[in-house]
Amino acid sequence: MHIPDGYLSPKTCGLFFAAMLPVWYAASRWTMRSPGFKGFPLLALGAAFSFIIMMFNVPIPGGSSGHMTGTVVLGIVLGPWAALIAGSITLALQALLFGDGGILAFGANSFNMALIMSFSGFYVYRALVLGTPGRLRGVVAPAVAGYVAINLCAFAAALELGAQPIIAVDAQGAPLYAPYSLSITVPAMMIPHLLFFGPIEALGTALVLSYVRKQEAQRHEKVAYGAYNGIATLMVGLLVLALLTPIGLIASGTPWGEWSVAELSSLTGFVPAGMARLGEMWPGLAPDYGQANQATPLVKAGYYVLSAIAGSAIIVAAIYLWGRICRR
Amino acid sequence: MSALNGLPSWFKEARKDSCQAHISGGTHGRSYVDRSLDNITSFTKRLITMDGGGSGRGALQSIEPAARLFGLLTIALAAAITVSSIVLGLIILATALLALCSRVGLIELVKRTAPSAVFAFIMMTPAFLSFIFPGEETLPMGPSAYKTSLTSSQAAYGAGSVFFFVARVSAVVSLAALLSLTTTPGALFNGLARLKVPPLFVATLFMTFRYLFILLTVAEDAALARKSRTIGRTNTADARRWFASRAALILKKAMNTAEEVGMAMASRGFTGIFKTFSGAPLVGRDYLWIGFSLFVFFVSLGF
Repeated sequence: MHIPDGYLSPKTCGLFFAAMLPVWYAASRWTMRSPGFKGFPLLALGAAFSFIIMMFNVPIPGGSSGHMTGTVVLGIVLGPWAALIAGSITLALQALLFGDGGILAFGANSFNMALIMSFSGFYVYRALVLGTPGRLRGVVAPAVAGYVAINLCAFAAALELGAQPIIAVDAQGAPLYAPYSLSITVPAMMIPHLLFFGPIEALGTALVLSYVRKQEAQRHEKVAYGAYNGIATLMVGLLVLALLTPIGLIASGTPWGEWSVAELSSLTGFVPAGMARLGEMWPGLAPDYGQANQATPLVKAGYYVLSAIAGSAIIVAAIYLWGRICRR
Repeated sequence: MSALNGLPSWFKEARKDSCQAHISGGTHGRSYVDRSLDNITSFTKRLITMDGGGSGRGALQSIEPAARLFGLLTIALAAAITVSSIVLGLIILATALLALCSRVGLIELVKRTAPSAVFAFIMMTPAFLSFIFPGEETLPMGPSAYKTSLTSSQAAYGAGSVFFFVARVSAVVSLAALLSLTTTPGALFNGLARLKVPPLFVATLFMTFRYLFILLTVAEDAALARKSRTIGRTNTADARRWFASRAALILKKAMNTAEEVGMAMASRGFTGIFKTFSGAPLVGRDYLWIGFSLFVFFVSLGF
């Protein structure tokens, strides 16, 4: 995928450098200002991750193996702007220190492998996960993102190489740089990427991200189970509220809409037929929370609290039974 | 004897096949773990030898890093621009001379350049055939009855283009190789900073290079542990799970280290402003070198 020097004309290299300069500038501004970003160490370590991940061979069905680029993983984890810079840094190191990819073609390689891959991977992923992904979408979305991103990258490289015979020829019309036309470069680049490198990138991206997600989910579960103090506080709060329920007795009159048939009759002058027939049919186990009209306020409060405890216990028991039934 | 009795039965069975880690994944020959380990080891070796290679005393090493970088890149640009075989040949010759004067072995330089040159040659092989570059038939191949229908003739025009292309790729790649063979990473980053590459990029490059070692250790440990501890046969699904877990581990390690480094920098008063050393001032030989590279560049424009 790395285009070496000598394949692209200096004009093409210059064009891509010129195109990438504002992009790098915007990316560095965007990245360093984005909230929650941990600064440039994250870019450096992201680039180092991309470097290292290329050395791991991904086993694919059939016994073969290949390596992924890791740019889409970075795009999804760090965001496309940060992944763009991290990807460009990786390419710069490869070109300057290890001779992988051209120094003059650095702009074009960054355009293909850093810009296109990080942005297309990120947005395809975002479009497919649609919020919080489930198990299936959590695997399918990164796989499709990786596959689409690497194929778009290969297509861009094919276009750049295939354009050379059109834009850089000698006096006799012979190509000076990459000699093959688009009709050759596009299938030559796309067929292996669609059939071999694309699936490797898809598989690698899906595996890494699904594993990361699984780890995160386990971490969150542990945090949830470990939050005893929070639950204890909640329980104490609920108990205090239950004990404070008799305060409602201070309020005079009947709450709006909770009138008895007699109250309604006195308020409106008539009682609807259905209400008259069904309203007082079953007064309940403990009418008015078991309060006797003659009881003192303290006794009334006691009845109120006892009713609340009894009601809560019944509901908890019902939920417990429901849970036991569902577990079977 | 009693100790042997305590061993599981599978351990006592002699098996003819090799260690299963070697063949896990179903590959013939080297497994994915072996290949990963090879990649990591060779890369580590290159990283370690890189510091030593550029510290020798030679012609290029005595030139200030920014001037060296500028000069080599200018000559590489000249090689990319020129359409003259003579100029390209002179550039290749000059590169070989520079390598010798800089105490870089020609074999080492060829070893670095050869893969790119061979790849370029293989890629250009179809261009020998006349259907890519229609031209005069110079070397008929195959039975005469099929000659015209197979078009298996070597067109001189095509052959010339192929050799020129391979020579151009070789020249540019050998110049890049010469840069990495004569310049330590520290000097290279210093040179980039003096050439006004934005400090954020230079600092990130430098930090990436440094932290490669840490992540490489994690990666190597992971691959070696897998190789050492795998006795039974593993299938491809297991192998993929292993890859996912190790890749995720490296990602996590990278994120955690980034956070720690960021906090350490903040606690030491880093405010986002990068300070780089201005380096030594340019001296006579640096100006001579820059002048020579510009001369090559202008010559390439004229021919």
